[in-house]
Order: sequence, then C-alpha cells, then structure tokens
Amino acid sequence: MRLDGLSCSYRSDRRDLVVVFRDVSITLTPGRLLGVFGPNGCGKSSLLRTVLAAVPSEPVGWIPQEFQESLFPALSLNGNLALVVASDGTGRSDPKQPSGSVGTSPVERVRLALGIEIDLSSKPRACSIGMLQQAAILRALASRSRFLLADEPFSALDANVSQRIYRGMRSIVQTEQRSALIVSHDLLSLRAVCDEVLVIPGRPFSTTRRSGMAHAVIVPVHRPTGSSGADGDPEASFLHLAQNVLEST
Amino acid sequence: MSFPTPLIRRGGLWALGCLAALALWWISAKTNLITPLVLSSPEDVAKELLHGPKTVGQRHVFEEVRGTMGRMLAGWAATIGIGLVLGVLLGAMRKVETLAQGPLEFLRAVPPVLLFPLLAVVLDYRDAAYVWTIIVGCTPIMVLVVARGTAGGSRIRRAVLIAYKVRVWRRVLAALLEVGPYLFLGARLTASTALIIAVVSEMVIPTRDGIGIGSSVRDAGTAYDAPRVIAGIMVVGAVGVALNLVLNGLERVAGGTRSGADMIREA
Repeated sequence: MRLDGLSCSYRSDRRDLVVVFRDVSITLTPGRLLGVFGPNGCGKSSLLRTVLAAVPSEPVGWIPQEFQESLFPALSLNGNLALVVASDGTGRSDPKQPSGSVGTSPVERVRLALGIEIDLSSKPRACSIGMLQQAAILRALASRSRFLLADEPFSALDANVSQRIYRGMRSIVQTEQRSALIVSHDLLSLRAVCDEVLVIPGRPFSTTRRSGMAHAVIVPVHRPTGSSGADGDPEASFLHLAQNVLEST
Repeated sequence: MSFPTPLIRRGGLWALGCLAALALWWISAKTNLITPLVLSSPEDVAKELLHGPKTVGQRHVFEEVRGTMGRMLAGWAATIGIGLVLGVLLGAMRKVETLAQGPLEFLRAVPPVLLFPLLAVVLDYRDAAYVWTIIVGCTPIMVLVVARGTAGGSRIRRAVLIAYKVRVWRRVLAALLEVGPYLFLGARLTASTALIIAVVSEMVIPTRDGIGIGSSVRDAGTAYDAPRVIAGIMVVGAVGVALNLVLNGLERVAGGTRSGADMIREA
C-alpha cells in the first residue's frame, strides 16, 4: 500500500502553524518491515500517527509509544487482549482447529511465536513496564490486522526479550504477509528487525524549521546469507550509511 | 502462630475506635458531664431501640428509618441512573458540557431543601416530593463527576479502540470501564447527600403518613425525649456507615483500580 501526500502540521501554543512535514510518501509492503529512524523531535512519531490516520478503514495493530496508558487498568492483560482480538473480525481462532487445543487462539499462537512469558491474568498495575510493553506487542500481533504500526516498541525490553521478539515479529510479519512500520530512535533494534530503514536527517523541527523528512533516505538492511564473509560487515556498512544520511543536512 | 492480616488489623483498630467512643459516651452520661436532657446514657438508648416506643401513637425507630430509607434509596437510585446517562453525554460532548455547566453549578450551589417546599406543593406533599428533592439535589453532583470522568478518560485508550476498529458495544463497555471509578465516587458522594436531604426535608414538612426519622427525631426533640433522638441518630449513622462500607467494597471488587478516596487525594 502506498500512501502519498502525507502532511502533518499543528498550531503551537502561540497559535503559529508548525508544519512538521508535507507531501511525504510511504509504501508499506506486505511481508516487509519498514523502520523509521531519526533524532529526537524529527517527526518520527508524527509520521507514524499520520500513517495511522491515513490507513483505510480496517483494523491496525498499533503499539503506541504510551503503551502503559493504552491498557485498560480495570481489565487484566487477558481482558485487554480480548477487547481487541475477538472484535476486529480477523482475530478469532482458526475454525478448522479443534476448540480448546493448545496454541489455537491467536493470542496463544503469537505468544509462543514471540516467546512471551508474562502472566496474562495480571492487572496492568501489577505488571512491570517491560511486561506491559510485551502485552501491547502481543495485542498488536494477535489482532491479525494487515498493518502493524509500532512506536518505540522495544524501549522497555531487556536484550534477551528483545532478541526473541525481533525474531518472532519478523517471522509473523513475513509468514502472514503483514505490512509493518516501526519507529525507533534505536538504530540497532531497527536493523535487527526491519528490512529497510527510513533515516530522517537533521535537527528537531520548530516554528521556523521543518523536519528533515524531505531529505530522508531509505537504507536497506542486508543480512548475512550465511555462506561466507563475501558481504563484508553488513552491520558496519548499514550504520555507516545511516550515519551519512543523518549528517547530510 | 501467624500475624493478623492488614485487613483484620484495620478492622480491629476500627472496632477499638468505636468502643472508645462508646466508653466516652457512657462516662459522659454517667458523670452528668452533659445534661441528660441532651445526652442520655447508652443503656437508655439501647432500651429505646430494643423495646420500642414508650407512648401510644409512636412508631419504632426502625420503622421510621425504614420509611426514610425507602425514599432515600429511590431518589438515590434515580440519581445514579440519570447522572450516568447525562454525565457520559456531557463528558463526550464538550460544547454541551460547557452549555450545561452554568445551570448545573447553580443547582449544585442551591441547598436542595430550599427547593423542597416548592416540590412539596407541586407534588401534593406525596412521597414523590421527597424523592424528587433528593434527585434535584444529588443529580448535579453525579452529572459533574461522571462528566469529568468521561472527558478525562485516556485519549490513548480511545485512539487504540479506534485504531483496532473495536465494535461499538465493546467501546461502550470500555467507556463504562473508564467512567467506573467516577461512577462509584459520585455514588458515594451522593449517598450521604441523599440521606441528609431525606432526613432534613422530613424535618421541614412531615410526610403524609408521618413515617420518617426526620420528623420523628424533631418531635422527640420537642418533647425532650433524648433517648429517642439519640436512637434515631445512631440508626441513621449506622445506616450511613454500612452504605459507605458496601459501596467501598463494591468499588474495590468491580473497579480494581483506584478508590474514590485515592482519586480525591490525587486531585
């Protein structure tokens, strides 16, 4: 899906019009994960929210940056998942599977794929921040919506959990041909999970300066094929390319 | 031997406080610290409660309280229903809330008992007049509290429901979850207010059948029947405490998030 002409602006406290970006195009490809990277205040989250608003009328698996606030405190994590997963029309269990069998529900299946080991019967207030973020990721992927939009989805996860979730998320997006847009200020996380990364250069936008979105460049992520070192050091070359884009303005 | 749980410890302290107050009352009465015309002894009050009326034509205090509670509960239940619907509507529509805020604030500022004589005439001094006085007095409080809860609900959670295209009836359920703590807060605030209005309006104009703790206590006071006055006070106080405890328990079981007291502390 290609979204053209995306623009974002708002009124500042002094009623000045702040244009974050204008006429940006984004292509979300089934089975691929697109990362968005840039310095703080460059408009990454604004881009994600603009895409969220522009996606046609169908469910979107959204992991907000404010994932803690996105869960209903009166419901258990299970209740929070049930509120979304059973209601989007696509998140129900596979009817061909015998009912009650282990791993048949979308939540259980995604949970196993991501290696998430949190107690879903807990209420959010009894959970750590990391657990809440995992619940928000689980909710987005279990909803089985075609689009996955995630804003800093790994910010509260430790290295071990992150690694498991990178792999699980990639696998689900690829096998189920979903389109994913992941915003993060952590380039290494994006490199680990995405197929390509949109790097936004420049400093934070303001009333007088637009974000560097117009100069953003897509940097592909090459993964070692496993045969030999013929690809050189893909991580180093990726970081080098991204760094060049960042410093281009 | 295990240590008592915090709940038992709190309950024990609570009971100890009540016993201390009872002992203070008993000592004050026995030593005539306060004249028996005003403060009768716990024994006399207990006799009033256990043996009932001393004169012909009087009813038992419990019967008087039952009449008052019937009207209070009818008015209070209607307040919760009306307040929930209006509060959610007002909270969801900012312009309508602004439009209604002035009249609501005005009604909240008017002591409801001042409206009672008018309502009593309109409703021919029937029980409905007492019930409507409670509704008019308590609804503005309920509406304002629920509207605040609705308007102050999390934007992120609302956006999540929209992003995931959650069905309408589930969104309503989610809205009720958001409003839930405020509904309980409003219910608790209006419970005590409803009880006060019910009793005071009976003191202003007795009911048609004369049943009501307000008029009963007023008559007993005129006749210097201190045990009956204090028995009435004790029963109404006990009913108020019981109501508060029930609501508190329900709030914790149903909401599981924050109690009304926590929310007031946060505010």
